[in-house]
Amino acid sequence: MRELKKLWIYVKKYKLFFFGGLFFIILNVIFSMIPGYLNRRIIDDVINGQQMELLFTFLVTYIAANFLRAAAIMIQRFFTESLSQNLLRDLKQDLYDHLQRLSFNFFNNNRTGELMSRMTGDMEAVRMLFADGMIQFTRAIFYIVFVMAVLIPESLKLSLVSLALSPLIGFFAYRLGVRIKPIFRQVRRQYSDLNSTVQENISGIRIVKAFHQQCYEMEKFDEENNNYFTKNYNAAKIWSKYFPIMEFLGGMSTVLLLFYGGRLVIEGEITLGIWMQFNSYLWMLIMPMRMIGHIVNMFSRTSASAERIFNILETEPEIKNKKKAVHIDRVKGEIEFKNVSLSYGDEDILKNVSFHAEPGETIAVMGATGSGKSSLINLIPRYYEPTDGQVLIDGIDNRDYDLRDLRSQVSIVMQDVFLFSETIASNIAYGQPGLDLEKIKRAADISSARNFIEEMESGFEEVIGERGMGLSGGQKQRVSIARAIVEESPILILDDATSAVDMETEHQIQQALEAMDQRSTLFLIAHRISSVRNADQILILDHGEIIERGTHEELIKNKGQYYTMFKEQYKEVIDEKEIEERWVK
Amino acid sequence: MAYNRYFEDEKMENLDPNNIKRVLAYLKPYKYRVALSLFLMAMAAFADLLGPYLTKIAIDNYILAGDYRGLTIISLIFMGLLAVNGFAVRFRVLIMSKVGHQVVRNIRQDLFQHIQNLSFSYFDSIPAGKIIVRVMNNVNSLQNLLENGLINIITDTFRFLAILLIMLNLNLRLTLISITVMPILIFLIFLLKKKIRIGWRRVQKKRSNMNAYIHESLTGMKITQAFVREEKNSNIFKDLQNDYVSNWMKTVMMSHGIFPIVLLINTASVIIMYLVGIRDLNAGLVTIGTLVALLQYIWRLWQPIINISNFYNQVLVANSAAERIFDVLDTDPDIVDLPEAKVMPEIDGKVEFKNVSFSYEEDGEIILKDMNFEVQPGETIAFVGATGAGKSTIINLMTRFYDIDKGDILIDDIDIQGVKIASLRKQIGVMMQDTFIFSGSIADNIRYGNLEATREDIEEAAKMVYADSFIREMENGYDTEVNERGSRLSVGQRQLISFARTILSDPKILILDEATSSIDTQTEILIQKATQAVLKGRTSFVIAHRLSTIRNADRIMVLEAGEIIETGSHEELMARQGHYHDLYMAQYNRVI
Repeated sequence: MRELKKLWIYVKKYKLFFFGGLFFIILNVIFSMIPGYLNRRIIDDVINGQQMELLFTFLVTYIAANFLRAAAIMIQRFFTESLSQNLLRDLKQDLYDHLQRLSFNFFNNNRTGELMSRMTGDMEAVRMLFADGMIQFTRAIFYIVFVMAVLIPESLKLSLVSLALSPLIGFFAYRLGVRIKPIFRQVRRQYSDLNSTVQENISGIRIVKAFHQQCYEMEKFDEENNNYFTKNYNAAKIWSKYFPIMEFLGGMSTVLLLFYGGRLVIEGEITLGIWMQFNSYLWMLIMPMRMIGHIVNMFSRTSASAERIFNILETEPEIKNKKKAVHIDRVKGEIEFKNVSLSYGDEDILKNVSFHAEPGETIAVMGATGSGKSSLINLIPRYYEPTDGQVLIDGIDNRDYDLRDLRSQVSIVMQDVFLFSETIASNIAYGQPGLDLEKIKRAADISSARNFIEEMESGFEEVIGERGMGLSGGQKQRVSIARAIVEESPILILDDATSAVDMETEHQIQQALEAMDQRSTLFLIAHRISSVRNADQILILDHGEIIERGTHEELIKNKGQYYTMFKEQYKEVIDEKEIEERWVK
Repeated sequence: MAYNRYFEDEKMENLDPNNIKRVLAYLKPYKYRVALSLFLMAMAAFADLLGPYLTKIAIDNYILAGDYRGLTIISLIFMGLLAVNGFAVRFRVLIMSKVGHQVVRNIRQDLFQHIQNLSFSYFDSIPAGKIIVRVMNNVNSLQNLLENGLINIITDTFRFLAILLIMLNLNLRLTLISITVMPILIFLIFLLKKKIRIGWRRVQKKRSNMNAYIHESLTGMKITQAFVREEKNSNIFKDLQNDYVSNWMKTVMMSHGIFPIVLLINTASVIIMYLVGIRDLNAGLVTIGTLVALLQYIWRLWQPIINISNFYNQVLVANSAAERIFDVLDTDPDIVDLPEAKVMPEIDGKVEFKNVSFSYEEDGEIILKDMNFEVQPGETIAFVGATGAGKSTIINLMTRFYDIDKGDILIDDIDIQGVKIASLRKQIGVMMQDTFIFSGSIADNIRYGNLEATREDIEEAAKMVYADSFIREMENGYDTEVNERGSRLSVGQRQLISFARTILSDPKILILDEATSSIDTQTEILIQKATQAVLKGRTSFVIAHRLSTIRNADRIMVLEAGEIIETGSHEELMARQGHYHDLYMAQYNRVI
């Protein structure tokens, strides 16, 4: 219920639709009761009472009532649909915008599928409540109130008889709701299990085939598929048990009315017309009872969904602007790490890391898998925050900058390449929509991507599939390098950005980068000596600590880990003696 | 290849009765149960329809006559009919939902099984997301038609005719006059339903565009934040939403219009019936009971008409779903076992390419040209060449992920086209460029290489590739759960895990396609030493960009535009001073 209150904030913006909707639902109830009353008058007054002159008035009223009802229905629907659609749009937009503000950690800890279901399934539950639930709920209440108000004065006894079975119907409807709800939940869960089984199989189909595990995959799938069938069938079993009972009880109310009402007519206690009126109002009493379970369900579903939605909306971004954030247009690109430590849970990712980079310098970071290279560079644009120490950009703690401004200063190529299913041109211009094609081409030149792009059927206008389908690993990397270059940011980060690019091409890219007019401060994570050789500083990380630092020459003289790597990578080209001669002496 | 973007709608398709026929063929094994359902449904409808008729008899014969006993009897009959109706409905729902879900399960199973056998070229041409939609959503959309649609259309037609017959039987003249407005209703409903159908289609497409956009936004969120594009995306999303909402409103209001139309048409009928009926009543041509019964029946006449118009829409939905399903089922796998295929005996390791030519697409770019080479058991071969030179293609052909256009590929002097694919692939371990991590524990991911492996085997394989230490450092060690695509692991870690997986499969031929590109040099060296022991006497192929990886090979093959231009050991090639030498010297010059 607390969640529904939060929704009220969104409803409030559309008060006209909300209260207008309620008003016309009630009007609809009133108009729909008129024909039943007219039936009675026609039978009693016109047919039995032979007052033929009244017929004309009754029929005109009948027509008018139905026209008004038709109009009321349309207006009521217009209001509730407008309300639910507008409300949902606002809520979705808020959620979308909020998700864009949440930090990297949030997305590491939450599955895309889960977030997706907030945006779709849970939103649908909210919509249902305002588009449908509101009508059903209001109608149910007013039907019972109005109908009883009209019928009780006519015949208390018959009213009670008509209502006699209602509690039972309500009871079974409620039971149905209670019992089927968990089963439906199981069905949905099973559906998502089946879905992820299929999804994983298809996305990993090459691995499946390479290891020839089709039989194993079939087994897994069959189990999920059969379970899905069983769960669905279980739901049908419960439905088939309760639904006929409710049908039967509803019908029995008609029978009771026929039997008892018939007696009252025979005894002359009521007229045939009144009996008819009871008859035509009967479903207005049965319907709300049958809806009870449904309505209760809808409310609890919506409030559960709203809770999940608000849970995200109320998640504070871990990383956000300070109160007095510093605005900057363009930094020079001086970067300093001061005793930076980072831990995740008990795990220490970075330990007391310090270094200093002048504007325009190239800093290379090397180290074993898991030694903290990516974590280190992720601190610069504040994707994460250090547990201890400071990251200074142009001498100012990067937590003091306005987040947008800060991130505009940094262009990054992540090791996990992600491209959008758009044209190559708009992928490259992702950070600067609508950028001049010439600039895009120039960036593609630098990243050695232009040739293969222009060889494609539509060149830069070629649309690439989800996650860059249709491009090889190296091609994807080159497109994403172009995407970063085009930004012309003062700080550029390449996180293992050329691992899938061949050596020659990598060399070309590097030379082009060095030849650029405006030199960015460049951070480079790489494994090949050739990639890092020309860097102004090379940092070697081991378990989160910098164990060696210096230029290529210095590190070789140092004869530490870098020296070993160098020897290993180039042992056929250059032997120890030559190294000694060239660098050590 | 043409891919859809978030703002491009998918194309619409036409109704093809063949699709529906093929779906219905799945009902065949259940035909008796379907027949039984129909019978139950007819019974239920009949019991249900008699209600107003009984009311008529009650009014005319008993209430107006003051006959208590008759009234009691008729009430009891009424009750009996309700019970019949209840039982019939119960069993009909049970039977049909079972049949419907079973058929859907069977179709999905056929589809999934078929997909398992499709070749790589198929998966190259269609994005994974679209295949998933076919297996999940499209199959589900048949459910409605199978479980309810068919039965309902038959019973609704029956119902409609039955009501009409009863009414005509009650009073021919009144019935005929009052249903004169029916053609107007049918016309209006079908006209509107068509518009509504088209509208919903459009709404659905807008919705799937919007959802695709949300999905991509979420998966690419880090890029969006890194490139500070939140505002632009927010505006795109706003536009998508507005587009969706306006389409929704248009369509939903049309579909809400159906009921008022029925209401007004019914009003016309009722008015006519009263006008004529009361005159006839006074003339003694009709009884009050009949008039009351007719008034009740006429309201029930409209529902079947609406249902029938709905059915047509259901068929259209099912048709388009079926079309996509059969499109997959009708795709023949390119690569299949020949009828006389033999089981590949245990591989010794000799590999031979004889005049092999290949291109990925018919009349497409030729990737391999007349390639010839021979590899002896136990040799390690490295392929060197620029992107697109054909390195990965050679590997794809050896494992028969694709079939060659010309020439022969022999392993141990046996043509691989003539052996069972399973027996071939089980003996070749490939580690591909794109690592794939399944959701589940790390142990399960390694076990994928050999389902029979014990925990010790798994840990041994992990130790061999130096993955053991980082795995043990994770919170639950080997039982740590990793998400879809292994997002919490670094690329290097993912490569190590899939390496362990490949080692575990105990391959007779090992292929490493840039398997260690994101692994640091030192770990790589350790891995190489460790795997050399395992691979003693086994043939292996290596593709890599790093010199240190290539250098250790027994022989290096330099590829250019689909041809081998140089072969030999590192020393030989250096001595030859050809292409490889140039490549190396370029490296050398860069170092100094």
